[in-house]
Amino acid sequence: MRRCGLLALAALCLCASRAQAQQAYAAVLLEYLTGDADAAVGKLRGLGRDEILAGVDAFNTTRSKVVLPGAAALHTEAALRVRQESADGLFNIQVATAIVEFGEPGHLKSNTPLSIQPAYATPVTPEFRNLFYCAVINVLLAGGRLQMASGYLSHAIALSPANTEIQLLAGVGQEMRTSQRITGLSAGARRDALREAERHYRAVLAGQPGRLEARLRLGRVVQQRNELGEARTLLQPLAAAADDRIAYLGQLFLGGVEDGLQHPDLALAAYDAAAARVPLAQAARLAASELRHRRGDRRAAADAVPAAAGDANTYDPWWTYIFGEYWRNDLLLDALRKMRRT
Amino acid sequence: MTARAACAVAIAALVPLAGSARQTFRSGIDLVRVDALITDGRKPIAGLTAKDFELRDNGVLQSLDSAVLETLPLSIVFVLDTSGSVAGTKLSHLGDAVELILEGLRPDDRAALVTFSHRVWMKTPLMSDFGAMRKLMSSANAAGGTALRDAVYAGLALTDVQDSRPLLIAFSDGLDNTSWMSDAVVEQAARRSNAVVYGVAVAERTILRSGGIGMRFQRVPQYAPGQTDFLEAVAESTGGRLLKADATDKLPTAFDEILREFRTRYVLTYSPQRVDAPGWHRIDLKVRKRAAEVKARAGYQK
Repeated sequence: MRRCGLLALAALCLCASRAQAQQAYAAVLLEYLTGDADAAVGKLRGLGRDEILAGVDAFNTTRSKVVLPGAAALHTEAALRVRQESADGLFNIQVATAIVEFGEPGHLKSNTPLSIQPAYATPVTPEFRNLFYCAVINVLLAGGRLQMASGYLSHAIALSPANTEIQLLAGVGQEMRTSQRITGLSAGARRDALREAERHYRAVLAGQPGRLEARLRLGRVVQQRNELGEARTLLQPLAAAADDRIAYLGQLFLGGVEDGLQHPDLALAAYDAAAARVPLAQAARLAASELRHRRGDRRAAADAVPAAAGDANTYDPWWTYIFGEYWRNDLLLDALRKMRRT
Repeated sequence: MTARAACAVAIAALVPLAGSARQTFRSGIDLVRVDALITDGRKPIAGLTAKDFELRDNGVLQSLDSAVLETLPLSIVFVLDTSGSVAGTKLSHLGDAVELILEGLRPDDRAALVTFSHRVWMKTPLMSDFGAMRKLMSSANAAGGTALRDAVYAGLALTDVQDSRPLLIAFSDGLDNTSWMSDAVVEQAARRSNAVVYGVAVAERTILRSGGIGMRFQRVPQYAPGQTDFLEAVAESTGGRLLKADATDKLPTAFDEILREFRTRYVLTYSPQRVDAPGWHRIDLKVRKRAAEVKARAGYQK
């Protein structure tokens, strides 16, 4: 009798503790939806996993239909806004993923060990889901976390095959596979990945011809596939791009194309034009130096080294090219926050 | 400067005088200089003279002007990996290795320092202020990717010196993952260069392997597939070689070995005869009448 009493008391305590956890979680979520979103993200990071799981469990019974986008956005921000490497970051992205995956076709392989089965709440909208996948994939690719990104890409492409932003991210993922910095593919697998990247970028340009990032990347990919004529056609117009990064990389890649076509003068002009667009960058200046070295102008080649590899050469778009449009991380998370009440 | 002049140590030609601390230069004649390591398979062979060598330029036998154990000042360009994988004690060992070389240099020698991660950073051009170089080395940080090929090219470009013997020492512990330039492009630049390149690699990791039942476990260095291919190819094409130091605590020994070996190399000079065609000239070098291993540049660009 006494044991039964203790068990009942323990259960009561657990319920009370669970209720408190759910209240704490609900308060954070409410603040995110209606108050200071930044503060809410900070507070969520301060909650324990049990509190969060208790709060998330409440989604299964809540009568609120529109709670899920806000919760997904909150957890996504908590995971990715500052540091995706922490264990809490991984946990929060698993929670966000569980919320977003609710309502997806069952045949897709889940990216999270968690799941929710709300009785009343409706799944997030397709627009929210697309944005969620774009944000998560963009951040993961920017961090070089290709394997994790690939799982999200498979969902995103299956759900929105015509979405050009997702196609662009899929292309970046395939290009990343070809990089020694991330993987060590065989020559055959590398060719396959380049072909896949090309397919994705062509899909982007078919739907959005003015997307210069896709044009740049398609030019780079077809160059690597030795389709130099088309690469040149794609890259030449990028010299006029307003974005210095696009113009620099376009001219850098064009220099490689012209060199491959045995046009050293044009290659040198392209490298010099690239250096003019981003004067502190390194790759174009070193490439120009090497061309001059090859042509026998050793003095000019040597003289170019301090300007290419000096104290001031701290930024080169080439260094981060494989990581995609990393600077869009915050923009995408901002957009996701704006959709938290949809 | 023309390719002919630049690639063949041309124009300001030199006639080294045996036993002389400084060299006498003569100008107006195209000379080709070949920096050669001659060993019996293990140790350098000393006491050779010009008549002991047989050198062919594009297959045509040449008459050597001189073959001396060179006393020209050295111009050493360090190209050192400071990517993230080198952080910590590895970087400290690397500093010790550089220090060992600097201690062995003479006042008229010069050294330059190029470090690289994803960024190639010429910390200093060729100079004789080794104290300043020590400070730069001790303040180096290790972080980021690995742009080995771009860095080796930058180092090669800096070795275009006429009045000394250029030596490039390139160290890396990993695979290139950020360079713009390809292996082939930089290998070609090395072949055009007058520098002798020595590559130093350390294993990506070590594993414990049993020597058998009852035997002790041994640490076995594991190099990543292809890790040393580029450095080996560049070194071989210039007449240098690759040293596998296995672990970074062996870097000082490896660097010391390079300097000692470099000082035992012969410098052969000749005025090319009956080989006027521009382009690549293959050099074949042998030692007459005795078994010897020869390491020398594969050729030069005219």
